Amino acid sequence: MRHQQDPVEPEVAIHWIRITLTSCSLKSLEKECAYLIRGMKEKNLKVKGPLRMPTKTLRITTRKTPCGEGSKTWDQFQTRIHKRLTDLHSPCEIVKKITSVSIEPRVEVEVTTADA
Amino acid sequence: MPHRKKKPFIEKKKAVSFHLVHRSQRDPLAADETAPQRVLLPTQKIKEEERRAEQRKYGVFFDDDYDYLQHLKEPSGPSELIPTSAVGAPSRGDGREEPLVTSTSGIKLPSSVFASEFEEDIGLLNKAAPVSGPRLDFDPDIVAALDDDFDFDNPDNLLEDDFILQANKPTEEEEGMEIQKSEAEDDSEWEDVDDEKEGGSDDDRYDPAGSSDEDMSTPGKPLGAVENHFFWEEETKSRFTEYSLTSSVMRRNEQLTLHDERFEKFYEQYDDDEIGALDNAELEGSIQVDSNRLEEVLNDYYKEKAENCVKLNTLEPFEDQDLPVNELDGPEEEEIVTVVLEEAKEKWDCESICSTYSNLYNHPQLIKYQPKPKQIRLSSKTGIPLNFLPKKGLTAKQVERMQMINNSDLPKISTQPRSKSESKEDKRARKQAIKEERKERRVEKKANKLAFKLEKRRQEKELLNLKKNVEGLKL
Repeated sequence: MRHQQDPVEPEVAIHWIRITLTSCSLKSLEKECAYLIRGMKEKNLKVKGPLRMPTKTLRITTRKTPCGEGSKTWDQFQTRIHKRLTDLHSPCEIVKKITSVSIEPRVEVEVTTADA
Repeated sequence: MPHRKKKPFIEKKKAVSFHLVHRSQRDPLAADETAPQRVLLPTQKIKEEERRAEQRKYGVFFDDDYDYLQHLKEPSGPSELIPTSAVGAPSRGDGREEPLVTSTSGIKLPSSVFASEFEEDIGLLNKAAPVSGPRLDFDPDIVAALDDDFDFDNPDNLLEDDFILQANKPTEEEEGMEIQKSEAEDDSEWEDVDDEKEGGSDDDRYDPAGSSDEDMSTPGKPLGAVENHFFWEEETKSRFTEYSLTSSVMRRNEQLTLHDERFEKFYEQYDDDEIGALDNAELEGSIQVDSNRLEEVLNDYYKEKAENCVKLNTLEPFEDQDLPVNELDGPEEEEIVTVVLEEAKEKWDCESICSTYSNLYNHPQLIKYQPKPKQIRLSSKTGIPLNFLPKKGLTAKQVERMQMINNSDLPKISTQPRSKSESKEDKRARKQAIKEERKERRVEKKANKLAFKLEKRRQEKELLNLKKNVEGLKL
């Protein structure tokens, strides 16, 4: 007979967890993603591999000159935003593992959980 | 797409999402090595319109996607301290992980994953930061030692060999001793700065005029309780009392006080009563015409003028015999008044100036306009340059012929007036006749043109040949 209000005993509640990794730098993002998935696979969790969203390019095209003089030269700047999704189907304790994972500096991590 | 109705991975309405961020420095678990250094921070999914409405309430009228609410701070009014039960939160160990129920039901995550509820006021890094500025909470002897102002020769300032033991002893025994010690040290220090003042405890007859009246006011100096009433009687105002508060807070050691006194002395020079002569200062105001000052000024002026002007009767006659004597006689008796007359200047212009030049050397000429020499163009018919051969004028015979009446003067139908009552046939006939005439005329013209062209070419060739072969021949 298990007490339902026993807080010490861990409840094995399976959740869907979606981890979204966003970054402007592709190299650090791929590194981070690989690290995460490798860590998950070592624990034999059901992981759905990195889903690569289409990369968004933000472009700014401006004149090079601060004044209007000179031949009309233009600068084209761009920033690329890459996004990767990883899905997990695992108990909650694994979430703690995510927090202790070392994260690359330029990567933003978002965790979304829902009931199973 | 065949799988349109497939159940989505995460139902967005029931899902909760978090940002994975570094733990806050104010979180007490930041120093804990076993606690995870990253925490989940729930994201706020306020809709755009709601957020904008909220922002407008606080005076932010921008309509972009940025969340300006994050920069707004709640006004911290007078707050009261309420003991919370969260004091026990940091003491929770690693073993127990209590599940934390999030706002939407059903999802349970371990609490260590989230930031602590209790946050300290000063963050971890700020605690480690060194304090800068004047440290008023230090003992004055410590500050003196740090400033190299320590009097090493004073026997009271030396530490005993077992000072640590003495410091660690229970405070009751040492209180009396310590207070005495600190007083003695204060006194000795007071002596350092103020030699005239006797560090006596019962000196009622304190002379305020004596020692440091003009010093900088130093309210920050530590005083023994005994010397309080002497201090208030002192005149501690200086010239710089009104200037700033911060300098009076800083401790003055010997050298600084000396410096201050010197500056005070130096600044005495600039006091108002000792201003020097106002030779170059401009004065404003009104003065009576017959006042004494103005008369004095005028007299001075006349005197100067009298000295400066050269009196001719004091001159000796010039000893050169060649000069006529008359010159010296006349103006001697009169006063010489130089009147400068400017003659009416003549106005010259360049044309008149130029006309004064002699024609021996000056040969004016009209400026000729030199147009650009045109490129030589060859006639396509003859191959010789255009406009080269002289154009032949009309001969006498040609002129005669032109004046003769020829058959071109005969009346033509086109020149005859049209009768008003004209039938259709007449009209048609007339028009037909006109057309015929025109046709003939065209043929004639063509023939004429051709004939003329050929003739012209022939003549040009002739001329050219003449020029080439015959001209310039010396026979």
